[in-house]
Amino acid sequence: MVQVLGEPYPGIMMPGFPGSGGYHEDGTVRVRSLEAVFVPTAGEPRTFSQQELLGDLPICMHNTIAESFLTPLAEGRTFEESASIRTGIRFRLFPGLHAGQLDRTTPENVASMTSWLRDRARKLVPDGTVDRVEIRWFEETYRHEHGRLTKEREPAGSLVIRLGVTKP
Amino acid sequence: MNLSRWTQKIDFWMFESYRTTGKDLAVYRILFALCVIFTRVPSAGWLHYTPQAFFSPPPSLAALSTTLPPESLIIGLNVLLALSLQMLLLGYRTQLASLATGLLLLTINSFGYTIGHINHDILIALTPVIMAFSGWGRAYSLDALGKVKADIDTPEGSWCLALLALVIGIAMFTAGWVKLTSGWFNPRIHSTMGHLLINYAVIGRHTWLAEQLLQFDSFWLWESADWIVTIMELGFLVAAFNPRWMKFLLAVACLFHLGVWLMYDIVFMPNVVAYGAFVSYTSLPFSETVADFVRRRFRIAWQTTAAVAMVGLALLIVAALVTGKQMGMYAPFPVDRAVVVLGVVFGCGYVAARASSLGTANAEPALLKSGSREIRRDPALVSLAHAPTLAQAVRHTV
Repeated sequence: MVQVLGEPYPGIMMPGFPGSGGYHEDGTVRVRSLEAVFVPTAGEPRTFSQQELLGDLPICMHNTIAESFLTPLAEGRTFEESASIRTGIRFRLFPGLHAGQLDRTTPENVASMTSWLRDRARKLVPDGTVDRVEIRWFEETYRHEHGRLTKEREPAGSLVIRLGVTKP
Repeated sequence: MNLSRWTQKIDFWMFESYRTTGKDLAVYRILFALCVIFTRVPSAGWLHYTPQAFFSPPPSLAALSTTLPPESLIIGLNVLLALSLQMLLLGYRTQLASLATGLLLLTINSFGYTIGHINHDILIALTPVIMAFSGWGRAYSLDALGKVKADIDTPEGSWCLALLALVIGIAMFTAGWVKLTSGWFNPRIHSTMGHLLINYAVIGRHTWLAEQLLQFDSFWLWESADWIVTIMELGFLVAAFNPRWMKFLLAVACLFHLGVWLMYDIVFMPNVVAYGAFVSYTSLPFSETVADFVRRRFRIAWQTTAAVAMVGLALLIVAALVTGKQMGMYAPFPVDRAVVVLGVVFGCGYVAARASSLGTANAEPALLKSGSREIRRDPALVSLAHAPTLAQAVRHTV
């Protein structure tokens, strides 16, 4: 059940922290991180961390939110409305199952995400009108060198959400 | 070994091995209710400013709907939770209050996890459901008033504690199993370090200890952490069938939770609260001194004092529900952290007491080695063999 539907709640389980957490056999640790860049119509873009972007929500949820709803879409896709892909008996039994994660670009979710980001823009960039938000992802590589932990960073895609889009 | 021998062993484990007194259970009930009041009331209040786009529940009650739960539902559930917790604290209709507390926590959490992240605090919801049948309302409760005084001082076997031990064992085992099957024993990979770095650099939980430890490139440090944690978690399922092993492992787990707090800034209080069911509160040092002090001070006015305290607590709960602020903000100290620290204190005390009793309770190891048959025939020997502390062991032999 866990493999098909995902971990249920309630379930007699403790957090497993599966896998290596990004640790590789060559001694490096590779993790993905994001920055939220609010690009105003005029002026310099403002950059915020994951924690600043999601600050109102419990910190224990931040990584799940980032990995589920803020990652770049599949190649060639933009954040514009599309139909639901959740078909099958499991979604008839559980109509809401993984809705936000699988149907990120349904009309309702696009509208909701855009509205939420507009609200975040008002709080984080109160002195400007934000045209779009770019969720920029990076692959960070940490390694121990000369007794210190060093970091290298490479871009790993982005998700662009325009806040000015309105339906006629 | 034939079937009847196995049946006897299972019977003994279920109904005789985990022993406790009515008083200990009552003290635990009160502490449990207070801990949950100050850390869980109200819960899931942040849902009302979560966007619908983040609605992505796992298989759960919340997944039966296609939208976030209305704010009024969450408020209503929290009001009922506060009410059931106060009933549990007072020991009024204890069984009903216990079941209601557990079911309400499960329901509220189900909605709280609609983002798709599960916090794994299942033990704090299951504990009252299991303990509802333990008789933890037989003492220090409104239910006990006016009733024939039950024997609350003599240790008795509790199947509820055995079941709770098994549930804890299964839960911890699942965590260990995931680690075992996802490479934590691979000596070329340091999973603890990897997860710590994610927690520090990506999630942003910057702790002093993490900052220091992440500078170390030490095979022995990181690999031993991987192995020790995995073995500890896997060991719980076996330990659940032996109270002494279980209590020892719970003491170790309290240290583990302290380490997780200091390294990851994750305060896993729900587990420590569940572990508290196995503490013999009335045999702790100074417990009789404290009890005498309370009795002397409140002999005449205890009803008034208790009533004033309950009214005060109710007002705080109402304020918390109205403002949406956690009850913990009204406490003079962070309750969740205090619980973890107390767990460490109790755990270390238990291990120290067991260590000091080794070699002084000479009969005990021999009896256990010779098999459980002798123990089962003599209840006094059962108490001696399974006394959590030397003080309690001496008390039972007098």
